[in-house]
Amino acid sequence: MTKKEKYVLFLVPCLIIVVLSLIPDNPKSADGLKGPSPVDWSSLKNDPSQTLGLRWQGIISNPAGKEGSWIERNLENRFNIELDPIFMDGNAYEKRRPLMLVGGDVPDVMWSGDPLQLRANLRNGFVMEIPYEVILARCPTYVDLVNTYGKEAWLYTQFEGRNYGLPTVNAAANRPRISAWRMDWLRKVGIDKVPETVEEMHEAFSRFRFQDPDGNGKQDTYGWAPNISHWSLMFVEVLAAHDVLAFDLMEQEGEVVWGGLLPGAKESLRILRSWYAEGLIDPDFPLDSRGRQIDVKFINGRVGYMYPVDHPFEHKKDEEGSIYAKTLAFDPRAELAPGPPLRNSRGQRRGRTWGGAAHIMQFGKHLEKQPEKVIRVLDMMEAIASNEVLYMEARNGERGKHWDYFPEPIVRPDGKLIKEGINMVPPYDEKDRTRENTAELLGGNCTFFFPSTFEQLFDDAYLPLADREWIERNKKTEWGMMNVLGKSDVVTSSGRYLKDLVNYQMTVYIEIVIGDRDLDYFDEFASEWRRRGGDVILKEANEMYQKVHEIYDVVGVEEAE
Amino acid sequence: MSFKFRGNPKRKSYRSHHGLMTMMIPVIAFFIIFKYIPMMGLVIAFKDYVMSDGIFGSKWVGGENFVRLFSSEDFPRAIRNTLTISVLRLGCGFFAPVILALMLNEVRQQGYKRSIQTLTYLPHFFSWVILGGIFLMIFGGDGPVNAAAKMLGMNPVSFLTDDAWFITVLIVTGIWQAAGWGAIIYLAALSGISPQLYEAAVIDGANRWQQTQHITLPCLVPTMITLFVLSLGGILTAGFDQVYNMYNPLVFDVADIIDTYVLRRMMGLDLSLATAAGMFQGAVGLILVVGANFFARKLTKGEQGVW
Amino acid sequence: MKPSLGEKCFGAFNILVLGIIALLCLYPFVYTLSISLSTATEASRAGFHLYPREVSLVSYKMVLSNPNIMTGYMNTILRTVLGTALTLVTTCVAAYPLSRREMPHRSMITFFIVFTMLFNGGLVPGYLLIKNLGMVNSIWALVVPSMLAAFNIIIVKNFFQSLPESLVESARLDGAGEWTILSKIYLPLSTPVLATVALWSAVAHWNTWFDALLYITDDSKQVLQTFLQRIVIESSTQMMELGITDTTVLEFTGETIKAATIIITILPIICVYPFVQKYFVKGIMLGGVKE
Repeated sequence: MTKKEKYVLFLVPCLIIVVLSLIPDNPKSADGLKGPSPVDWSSLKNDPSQTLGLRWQGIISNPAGKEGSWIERNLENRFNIELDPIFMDGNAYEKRRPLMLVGGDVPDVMWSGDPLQLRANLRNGFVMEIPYEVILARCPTYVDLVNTYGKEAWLYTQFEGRNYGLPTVNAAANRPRISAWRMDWLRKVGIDKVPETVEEMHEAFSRFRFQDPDGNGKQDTYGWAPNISHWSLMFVEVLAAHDVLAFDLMEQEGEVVWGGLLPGAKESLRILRSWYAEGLIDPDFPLDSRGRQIDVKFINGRVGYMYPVDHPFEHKKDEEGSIYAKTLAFDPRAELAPGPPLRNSRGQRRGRTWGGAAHIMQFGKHLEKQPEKVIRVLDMMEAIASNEVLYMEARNGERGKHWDYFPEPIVRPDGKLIKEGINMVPPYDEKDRTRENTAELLGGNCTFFFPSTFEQLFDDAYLPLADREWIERNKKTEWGMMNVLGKSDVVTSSGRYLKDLVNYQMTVYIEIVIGDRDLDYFDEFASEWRRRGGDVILKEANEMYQKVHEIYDVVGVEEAE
Repeated sequence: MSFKFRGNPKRKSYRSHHGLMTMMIPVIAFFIIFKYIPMMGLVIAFKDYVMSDGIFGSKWVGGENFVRLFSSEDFPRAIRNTLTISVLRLGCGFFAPVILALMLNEVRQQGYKRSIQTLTYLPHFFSWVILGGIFLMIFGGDGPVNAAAKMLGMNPVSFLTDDAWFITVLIVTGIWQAAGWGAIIYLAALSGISPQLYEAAVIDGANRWQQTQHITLPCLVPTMITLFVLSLGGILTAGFDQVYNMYNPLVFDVADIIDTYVLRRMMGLDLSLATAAGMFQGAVGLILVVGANFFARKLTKGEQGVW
Repeated sequence: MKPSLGEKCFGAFNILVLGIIALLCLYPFVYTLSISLSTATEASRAGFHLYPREVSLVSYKMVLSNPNIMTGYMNTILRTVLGTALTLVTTCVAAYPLSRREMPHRSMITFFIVFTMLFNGGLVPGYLLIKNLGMVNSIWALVVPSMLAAFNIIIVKNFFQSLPESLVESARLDGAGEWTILSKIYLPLSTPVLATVALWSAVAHWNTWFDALLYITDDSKQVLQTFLQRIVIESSTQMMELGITDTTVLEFTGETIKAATIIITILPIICVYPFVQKYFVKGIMLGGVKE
């Protein structure tokens, strides 16, 4: 090309860069972010006769829901609102939502999964402050329930002393996740009850491995294939029996520590390592990175133990597609029994729970000019939280029209289960109506519009009686151990370090268990963990822990001691 | 005899080639709108981009984002991973299509040749969503590869969760997908070689191997150079689709590449960092391609090069 | 000339190795097909699965009854046809002037275009642009931005440059304008390269899922590959990351269902493929991808 053309090609971009860098910037964000809310809350009145539109991005749904469901219309009628729901699956939520927000399409109401997202939303100016007083004034019942079932959620919604959302709770998550055992195998090898301690578990696994519990003459059975697909599942049963949550922040003598560095963690690893060396653990377990094979190996009789299990299963033998039914298909002699959490050295059962603190509902910053919408939503949350009928309508639809409650199971003459607990009634119970039901009722157990669930208060009453007993026996809330701050993400530097630290820890733990590293490497791992950012996390966690009581005081959490 | 134009010669050529210019104008407009205007957005890389301030209102921070990038733990690691994967891919995968093309070229039976060829570029037609799903099954704990290993008496291998194995699987399956397709281009070049050259060589007593050395390979060199230069431009793009659809937290340390890093930053609304990382990637690619093209031209005395 | 013993051995060895390679290319699909037709218990058996020992069509029934699959298909087909057509037309219009030596500022414009191959603004400016053009949630967001690619333009331009100049000269003498030359002379002779570009474009459109994930919000307009992503490479880990343990949200998809979904998605490609590749390979051979 000619000289002139070369100059043009070179000069033009230079000019553009110079021009762009000379445009004066005008960051309003620095001030607007930390200042007090510009809304005059005290003078607001809620006029119920005014219809308000709400663009609502709720909890991730899978399968994606559709607009125009009965649940949506019911809420619109009751609260005089017009809902414009945005449904997303996990993938879209992660990737499309940030772009949506950046493109200027900020919903009125937004569900955020964790404190990381709250802080990201905040930094970019997408969300507004909701002072504590406003929430306490308009939703006292809701606040009480949050304080009862998941008080840590208040930590998720706060940032530097201010509150930026409405916390949501999931009361059932206060219950530990439990395991399932092959009871027929236990009996065959001479054990007559489900193991309750680590030693008993060891004995059971030994016999599963060496005493041919399925009676086929081959040594092809193992005790356990640990689930390594997620840190919340890795080796949890044994760790909890040593009073350790390895991937969480724990409190010890007034200080916040990381469970994975505690002596109890090292001891658990020592035990697991010896079990692996003895051959009790399925050597393929590190291969299953997505947790695909956990139930498969249990079903096809490769292992005699499975974790996690959340719902009652013993009396669901005939339910098509249930784990029990599939196991029976493989081996008709199979008998499954639930395994409540193992007992620690003091005889108490301990199991990991997520804790009831769930997520966050946030409000778009533009609602600062329309605060009556915020008030309307808060009133809605309060109404639903205090009224069982409204609550059930928001979750499942109308009783009598869509569903009804069957405390005792209704069984066909041939023994097959038809209805139990909450079940559809005609015409919604017809087969092949799943798709229509999804459109009408958003898939059932809907948490899209009202994300908090208060099982102990409402939902449990609609469980089949047998299920209620099962939960009482096997999943007591008092056995649960949770992260002292709810989620480790509440500390500000979590975005920077936490994911890598967790991945590192998961890899090291597996390496120690399978023998690729010595147990003594644990101490080196501990200092390396600290060096890679763990120290920062712990420091911030301790700072936050000091402030926690201030927050609890404001919202009225009654704390023991 | 020389004579001067009256008036501006450029203006005359615009007029007489107005048809061509008319054709070009919408094309140029397209590139301006869809490629160059978004490039303006790269300025975010030099700002602390916050949505409420918009692109031009956000605070200017100069090179601070780049400093943050390079002093962080994960960006340099992402660069290292990207380079590792790309260089391995280029090193192992560059010659695979050539060798495959040469092998196919030796086959006499046309029918067999064509069917083999058909099968080898079948994999190219499928997205990594599909291939990833398939390979996760095949290389998983209960998959056939491990079944074969067990039959041979070996311990099962953590193909997908062990760092080194994961990279190996990534490279091998990447080559599997691309080799057949790449071979087509070389086969096309091979078909352009005049048979007389071969006949002459035969008369001179050359065997097949010597023929390959002295005729076939030199004729393939131009195509190889072009493709090599073009792939250098992509050296910091280690195949996002494939990595994204096959990786998991346990191999994060080696599988997090620049593109997945950028994606995570975007998902966390860290847009300045995401753009800075992307800009770095583009700049390096540009330098590499221009440099490689320059050398290609120099070495072949202006004969070969993309432009 | 008679091949020597060494050459014959090599020939046989060559054929054998090529055969193995071809089988390796085929095997993953055979495996998936077998899994898709297996019962759940058969699928969890470890092994090579060259064929299912226990057959079940349940997975196919389930997948086919999912309306998303059908809409996904329709949208993907629409996007592929439209996108490929647009690409072909615009690429020719772009390549033609650049192939003519008399085009003013030719190499500058070529560099201007090639530069975009190496440098781009990234996801965010791209999204903002589409949004401001009002193309979000429409098919145009999927076909327009990728319409003109520098790589394709270069390939076609090079091919045009290899066509004899004499044709153009005689056409000009007959008084033909640029459009006529392009359409009546260049295009008919360019079928090999056009087929190549068309194929590349079609495959790319068929397989892309990321742009649809970002720009299409309506499930009724969503493309097949994005649905596939949802099903096959599940987001259950994401759910757990966010602490969503409500199992109605976490629905595990069995291996057989995933395999059946994959097979259903690739079936049309496998059917169309033999016909297309015959034509296209001939084209590549004839025209050659010249530098």
